[in-house]
Amino acid sequence: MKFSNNHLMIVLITLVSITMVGTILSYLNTPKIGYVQINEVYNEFRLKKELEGKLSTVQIARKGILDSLGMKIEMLSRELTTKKDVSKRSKLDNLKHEYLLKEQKLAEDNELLTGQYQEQIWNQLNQYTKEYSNKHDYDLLLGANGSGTLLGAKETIDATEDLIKFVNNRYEGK
Amino acid sequence: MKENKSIWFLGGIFFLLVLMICGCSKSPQSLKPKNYINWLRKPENGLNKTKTINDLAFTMCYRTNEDVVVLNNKREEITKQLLEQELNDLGNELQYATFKIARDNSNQSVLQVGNVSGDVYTKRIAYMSFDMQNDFYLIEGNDTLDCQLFHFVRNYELAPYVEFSLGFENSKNKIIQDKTFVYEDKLFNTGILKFTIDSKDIKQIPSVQVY
Repeated sequence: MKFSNNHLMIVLITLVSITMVGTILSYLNTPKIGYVQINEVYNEFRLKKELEGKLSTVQIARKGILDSLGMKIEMLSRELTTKKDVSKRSKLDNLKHEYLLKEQKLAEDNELLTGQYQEQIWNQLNQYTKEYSNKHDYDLLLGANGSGTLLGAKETIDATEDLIKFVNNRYEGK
Repeated sequence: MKENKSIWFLGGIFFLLVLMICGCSKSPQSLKPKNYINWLRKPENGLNKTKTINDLAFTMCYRTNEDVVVLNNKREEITKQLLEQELNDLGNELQYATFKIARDNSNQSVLQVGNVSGDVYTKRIAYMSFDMQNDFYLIEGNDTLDCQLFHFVRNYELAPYVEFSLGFENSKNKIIQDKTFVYEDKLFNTGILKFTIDSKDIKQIPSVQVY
């Protein structure tokens, strides 16, 4: 039996086809892995920026309350250096006490509000990241936060910029 | 014979193209009242947006004045005269939306999220009945529009969701722009929730079929 050119061509085509199918199958079976710089996503998240602005407004207003109380104390202290007045001395003591209590209370309130806002940010960020991962069919999406959980990865699988765009669009309700 | 085949082939391609173009046409021109109501509420038409956060689904649905009239009438068909009359009565001061909060994976009431005590439950009802109105606003271009009409649709926990009817001031700008409905959540610690309705989706809303 003679092995003609036609036979050779058929064998070659079959081999190439098998290789191509194999490559496609192996590509399809490869798990999709990516990573994101979590701190960058967090910092660029629009809700974080908006709540930061709100927090700063609240903190400034609270500081204003303390400052005006501090001013009163300052003025009363000056008066008392020139005159000895028992009633004013007692008023000054009361004001100082009030200042300390208020300072402590406002610091606690600020901490509480910061915690509340952080929870709100993470609640939304986690949800949108989950949606992003599902939409892009990721088998594994890692979060690199610089603490050593991700020691090295190619930049080609860095999805940070893409995720930032996605979470901000989702936050805007688009 | 060969030429005949080519003509048939080209004809077939043309027919397929026509079918594709017809299939891609975005919205119908006019719809019967019932279909109109359903069309507005289909998420794929872009007027009904949902966000799910911590197993709670928040949905904002933009409503046209026609939708308000048609839904109030509850009729299969509506006359042109009646529609015009009712639209006139409704006026043009407000633009409407409905807001819904539902539990994603549970049939339990939204009011009971977090297995709250009776006191918290009562506070939630009070907030949803009155103060919640102040936490809604609408952004249109450079305008921030207040929520001027607010109604908590009570279902006495017969349904696993709560619903609110909202009416926002109309923008002075007559050009149709993107509308961003905002709710600053004070109940479930989910933060600021935004729902943007694209102007191109508003422009393609069909009309109500009248007779």
